[in-house]
Amino acid sequence: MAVSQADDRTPDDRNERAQLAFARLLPKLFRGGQAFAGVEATLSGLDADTAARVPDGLPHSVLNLLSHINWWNRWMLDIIEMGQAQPYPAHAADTWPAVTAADWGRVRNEFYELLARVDAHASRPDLANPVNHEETIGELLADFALHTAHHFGQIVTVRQLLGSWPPPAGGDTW
Amino acid sequence: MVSEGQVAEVFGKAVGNLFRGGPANVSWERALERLEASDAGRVPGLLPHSAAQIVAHVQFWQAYLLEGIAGNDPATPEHAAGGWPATGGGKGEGWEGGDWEDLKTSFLRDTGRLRGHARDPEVVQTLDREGRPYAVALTNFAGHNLYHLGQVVTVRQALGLWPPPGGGDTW
Repeated sequence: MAVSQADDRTPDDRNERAQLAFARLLPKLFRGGQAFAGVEATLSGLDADTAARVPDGLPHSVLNLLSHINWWNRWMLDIIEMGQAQPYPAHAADTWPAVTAADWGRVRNEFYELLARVDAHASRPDLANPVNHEETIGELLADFALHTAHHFGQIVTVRQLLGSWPPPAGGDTW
Repeated sequence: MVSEGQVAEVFGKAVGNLFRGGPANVSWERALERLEASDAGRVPGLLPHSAAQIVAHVQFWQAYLLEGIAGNDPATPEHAAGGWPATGGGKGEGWEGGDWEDLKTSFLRDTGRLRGHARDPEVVQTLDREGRPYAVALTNFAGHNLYHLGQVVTVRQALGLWPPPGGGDTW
């Protein structure tokens, strides 16, 4: 393993710095904007009717995807905040709430409210503690940050298929 | 303060596993299952990219990160387009040439390498050329991978090629 820079810090310093870097990254991971388009840009310039439209051949609208993201982020936060595992849904379909265009504003607001709850946990010192059976708090946060990213990639694709991309402020290109 | 071993374990599990697709998503292996060259190069409807182009893009950045971790100094593209290698295929066309299987093989190999690096405390704590622990880049790249993994699924859905024979991520 090559070391890119001279590094005379002690192992404890290095360890602490890596841990802090990870903790600081978690909230950013939920928001994108680093290695892929940020969540606010991705949801911007989208009216309720477009958000609720399902492109031909696809199973979900932007609204479906966002309410699904919310479902799992809420499930994750309940586990972390209650400090114990919660039951898994019986079927994947249970995690795709029935929504209509009238729900768009509410679902979008809930997404940001859930992110604010995530922020409170990213810097906690017990990220190494198991909380969901063997899964630690840190693992759970990382898993669902990237579950969010996975479906935000799909939100961009759905918008492209609807001819509604890039948003007014531009996509993630340079 | 938790011990170094604990940090490495948490980070390694949390981020390392995500390079395969992660427990909350379908795996890359499943997402690419039975996607033949003739379909991998097809660009559906209004979309800008085929599944093969997306995989080639993710592989470009995987190779970039691996170069950096190896202590080399890879050139950063001047524009985003520089991270989208020219590939065969296009609107209504299949993948041209026989390198789709090669691309998949090198892609999955490098995914495994990055997973290994994320689980190696020495690599995670090493500073990159911007002075940040590689934990940062590894985490960001894991996010980039999962973001585009979602798009490969959507492209396959738009082509009527989802779920794969082994099933999607449903129960």
